[in-house]
Amino acid sequence: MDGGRLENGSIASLAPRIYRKEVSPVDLVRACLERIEEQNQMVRAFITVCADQALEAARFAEAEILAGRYCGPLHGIPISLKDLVATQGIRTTAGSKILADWIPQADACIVKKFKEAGAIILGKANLHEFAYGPTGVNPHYGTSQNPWGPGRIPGGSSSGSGASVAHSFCPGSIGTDSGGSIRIPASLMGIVGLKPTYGLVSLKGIVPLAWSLDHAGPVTRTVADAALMLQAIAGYDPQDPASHNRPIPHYFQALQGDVKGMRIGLLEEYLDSPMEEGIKQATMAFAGRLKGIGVKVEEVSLPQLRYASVVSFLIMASESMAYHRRFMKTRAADYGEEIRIRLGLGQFVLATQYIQAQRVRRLLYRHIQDALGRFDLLLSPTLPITAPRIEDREILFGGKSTDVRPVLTRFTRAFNVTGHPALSLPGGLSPSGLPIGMQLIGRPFGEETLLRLGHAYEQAFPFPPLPPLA
Amino acid sequence: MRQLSAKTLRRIDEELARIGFEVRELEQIAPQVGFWTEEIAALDELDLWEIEPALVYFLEEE
Repeated sequence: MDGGRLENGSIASLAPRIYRKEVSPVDLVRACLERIEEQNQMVRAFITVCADQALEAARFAEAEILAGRYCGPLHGIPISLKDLVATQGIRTTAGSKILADWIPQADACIVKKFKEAGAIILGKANLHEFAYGPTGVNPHYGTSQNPWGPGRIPGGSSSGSGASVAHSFCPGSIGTDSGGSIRIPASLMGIVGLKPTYGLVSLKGIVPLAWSLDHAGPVTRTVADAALMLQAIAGYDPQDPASHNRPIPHYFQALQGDVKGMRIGLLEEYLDSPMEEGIKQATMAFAGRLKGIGVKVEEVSLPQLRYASVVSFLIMASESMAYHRRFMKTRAADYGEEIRIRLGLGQFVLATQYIQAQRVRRLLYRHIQDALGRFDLLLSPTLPITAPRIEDREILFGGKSTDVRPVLTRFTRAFNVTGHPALSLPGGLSPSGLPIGMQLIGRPFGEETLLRLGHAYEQAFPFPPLPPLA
Repeated sequence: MRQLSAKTLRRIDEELARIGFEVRELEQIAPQVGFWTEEIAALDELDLWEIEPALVYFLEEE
């Protein structure tokens, strides 16, 4: 399945081979770096490649493992980090010109955790400027390539995280998600993306987009790998005011649990809203396959979801502008035009509207919690469309020409508003051969259930293979 | 619903926001403000009596 090439392997397949000393972390990192060297200029998954540091870290990991100090399944595994995660001594641009020369003095909390787990950081992944957009089109560093169709958007904002995994530059990456930014590239590139529960993964040291909507989580090729990466980064951080102090389960072990009898609520309002041809059929087929592995699927109506977009807009516009206000006044010309306009919009939101949005947010949370009292998980397509072309700022959607950006976040942003965990996994291909993602939504801190069902599905119905490697 | 003009937004910017937007930027922002104003008005349909706001760090009890 991995073509025998090291860089195509999953974390779950590589880790035991590294543990048994059959695979050298140095060889693995070299294989990834060679592939990056060959292809990154075209793929633009990385803004910065840390070849020397990665090789040095790989040699150290190898020495530790040979000395019997193996420290877990990420030991010696190469990963990428979205370039808004602060890395000590390595520039962190946030995909912007404004932070083009910023070299952080400290690692983000999750970087410290990855280093403790023995993971090797290959480099910093491309993104939509300041993570404020779902297409991944970046005017400063180029646009990451979607392996399913050159000229099609990779999705964002974690475009490079998705591209680095989909192009087999590395088996795992960290993205962030404030309105769908992990799940959108996962869906458009046929891979796995997990937005964990708000407060499960520390955001300390991650350049914010909107404090109350931001989440960090894994982008991988398999559900098991998402579980392994989440294990390394989940947990309380006293330096993050949003962090929850609670025991962390064993996510990888939880994959083995039974899914028979699990109850899934298929979100009726999303299913009945406008969608590209083939996506509703793919969703029904996905639900049918779930039934085939013993899961009960029923439609559930949550009409209040219609308010999620405007609530998300009000919160994101206000919080992002609050963060960017200083740069908007002093370095206006250094923003890409799209971002400056989007941020500018936040200056015209009233404080009362922001507070109303926060009230509706609580209402939405309660409605989704009610539904999750009757169902173990909720289900919808991740997106109502497959990857549009890069030049298509507007698409024909629901019978009219529509800005592509709100279409991309239509089914994802509600769960940033409420903080529920959401997993996007490959759910089939469209009639034109592009990936369609399926979104499972879980109870707060219910990642075990989410990952268990995703893994059970993947075992029973393997994901469509990624396009052949160049 | 009446849409705010770029001229009005400019006045708000000059007197309240003080970012210093250019006219061409305000011309792009104005229709989006108009679009969202209608969406925001829809929130008035909801009964928010006894609903308190979530916090910036949204930590709902389980």
